[in-house]
Amino acid sequence: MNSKVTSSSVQIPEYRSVRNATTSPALRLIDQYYSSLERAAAATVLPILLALTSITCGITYEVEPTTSRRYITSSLMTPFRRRTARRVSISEARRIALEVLRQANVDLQEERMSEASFVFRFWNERND
Amino acid sequence: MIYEFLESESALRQGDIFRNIPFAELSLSQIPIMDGDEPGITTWDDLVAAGESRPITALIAIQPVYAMVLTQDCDAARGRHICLAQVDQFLDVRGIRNAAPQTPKKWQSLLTSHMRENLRYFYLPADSSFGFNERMAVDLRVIIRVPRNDLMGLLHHRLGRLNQVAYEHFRENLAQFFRRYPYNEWYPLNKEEAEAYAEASPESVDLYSWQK
Repeated sequence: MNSKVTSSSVQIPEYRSVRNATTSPALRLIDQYYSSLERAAAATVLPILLALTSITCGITYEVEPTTSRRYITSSLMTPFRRRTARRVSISEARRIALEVLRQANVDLQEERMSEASFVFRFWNERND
Repeated sequence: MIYEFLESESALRQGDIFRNIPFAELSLSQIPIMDGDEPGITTWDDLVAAGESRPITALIAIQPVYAMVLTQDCDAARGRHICLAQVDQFLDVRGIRNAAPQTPKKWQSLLTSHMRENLRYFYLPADSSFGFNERMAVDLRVIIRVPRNDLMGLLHHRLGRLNQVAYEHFRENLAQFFRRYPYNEWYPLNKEEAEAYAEASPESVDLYSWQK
């Protein structure tokens, strides 16, 4: 029996012992059949393993003060960001919420006064 | 004056005036949120950047204000939400707190010209029996949306509504305000008029080819 093992990255240990003992034509056919299975398996599994390896090793992290950006190097993937927030105390969060409302009122009043000085200027001029 | 008092069980209608309606402001560039159990500050852009659609919990300041119902009667009878516009003191809405007219002649001139020329505000005269000790105005650019059922639970905060004459003016004002589209009012001016307009305008004015 030719004990030379066919070149394949995927071995099937359970079958290997049988193939080493192959002597009859029937068993040789079985041997050829299983060798083709090995090649098919290798052709399927290897690209998947390679893809998984490249994705796993390709992740890079770029940390910003408020945002974590995570890029995947595959051209098929687009960058996405992970949601984060700057930690503050509850009193600071409350202060900011109140400030937003206060500023909204200030901005509204400034908008009205600006409008009064332009849109209504003709009435103002008439009544000065 | 131009107001009607209502029975507390009267149906909700366009032109109804409430006190103590919650006015809230949300900043998209500075949002206090609860991230888990921890408070934090973030932006709306960061919140949506991951493409998440899950709701978040935010901290928002709320202030009670006067407001008038804008939602028309049929929608107010069965809609899920009611839209109201904030009612504020006229001199503030008009931006003339420091330059109020001093005579009835000037007041009538201001109020009538305002009705003709400006659709943003709807004037509400003072009537202390109604609850308005000062001249007020509806600001149609400050819109508040509240759940209808919750508003029905606040009918004891309803001051009343506009009478028929005032209501007809209000609904015309409201409809005209929201049907407007932008246009450049200086387009028909000749060269000299356009230059004078541009000079008086606080904003940049792009003159047309026939005005240069």
